[in-house]
Amino acid sequence: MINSVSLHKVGIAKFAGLLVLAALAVAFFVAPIAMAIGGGGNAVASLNSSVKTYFLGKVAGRPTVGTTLSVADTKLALSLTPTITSDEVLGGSWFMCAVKDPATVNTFYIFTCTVSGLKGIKIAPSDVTSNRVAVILGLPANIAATTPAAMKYVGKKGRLLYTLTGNVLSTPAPIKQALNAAGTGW
Amino acid sequence: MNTVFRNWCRALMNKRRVLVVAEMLCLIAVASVFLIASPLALAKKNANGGGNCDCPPACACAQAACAAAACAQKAAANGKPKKKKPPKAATFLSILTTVSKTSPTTMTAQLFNHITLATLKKASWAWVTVTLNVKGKTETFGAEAFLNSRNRPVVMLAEILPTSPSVANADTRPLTELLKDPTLLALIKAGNQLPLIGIK
Repeated sequence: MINSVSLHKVGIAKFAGLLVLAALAVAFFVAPIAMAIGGGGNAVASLNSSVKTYFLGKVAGRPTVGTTLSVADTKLALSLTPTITSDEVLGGSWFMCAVKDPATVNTFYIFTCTVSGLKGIKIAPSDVTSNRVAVILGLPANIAATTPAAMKYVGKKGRLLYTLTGNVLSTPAPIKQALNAAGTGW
Repeated sequence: MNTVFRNWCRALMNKRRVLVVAEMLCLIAVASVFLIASPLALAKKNANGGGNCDCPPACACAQAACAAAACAQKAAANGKPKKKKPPKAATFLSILTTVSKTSPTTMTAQLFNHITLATLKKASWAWVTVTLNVKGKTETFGAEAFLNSRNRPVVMLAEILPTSPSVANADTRPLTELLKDPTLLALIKAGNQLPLIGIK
């Protein structure tokens, strides 16, 4: 009697082998790579591309000269620089941003933002000239005046839009006019 | 005996069976590579700087073994393995809430000196003020607070602020001087994440 394995069983064995290999590949290669990529920086969710974020100015903490900051303080004086040079755009620094509501014609929400690269937090000088600067939205300037839909933008990353004239960054002129027209005070 | 052995060999070497056995061996070999190579490649990455061997760069296993061996030798030479310095932690001072524009170039932010982990989850990347020990002196910084990939509260330093003299070991130099301090400037430019303590 000849012991033989049917072709059907061989096929099943091959397919099962392939499945095992694929599972091993995922477990030992794809998963660690994905974890490494995810763990390298924080996985910041992206803003919907229809939500536009505009530069309003760079923020710096400038308590009144001679004063200091303590736990008891309830207010912090800040300076806003509406036009800055491209070398002042550093990853992690503070900007004020205007976020245009995509659902309405002329509604803006003002947010505190953190400057970031499109991928990591760091920015190369060429990123500024090639409009590859992103911001991560922090809290809105006025939470009470922000809709629940706009509150969902908090903690998300979007591409920053600005006008670059020579080496100077500023708010795009049509946005300035629209902000004035909307009476935002910004 | 000879005939028995010959028959046994003939049965074993059945063409189709040889193919199946060969295929199974291949599968086991590939699976073994997956099991062995990947953890070793990671070990090599972790042991980076542990030691340099003249192994071919493509040979991850050999490199990893070399690095591990060099690391062990170094540790043995030093008597005991070096303890990794824990990262400095920034202490939460306050969170910046409402920001009002008071003139074209000035603003005021409301400060609130209480934050919880739950708030931080919702107010991700919120601006906060923190204190940090730098070279034995307590410095104050403006920073962004968020939860890292392991859900731990961390900050990224962004602005240098003056420290209240009432704080222990406060650096009481004027702000203009602090803004020129290369150590402090390096801290805000580094973009490093520091653990945030002092939140509920």
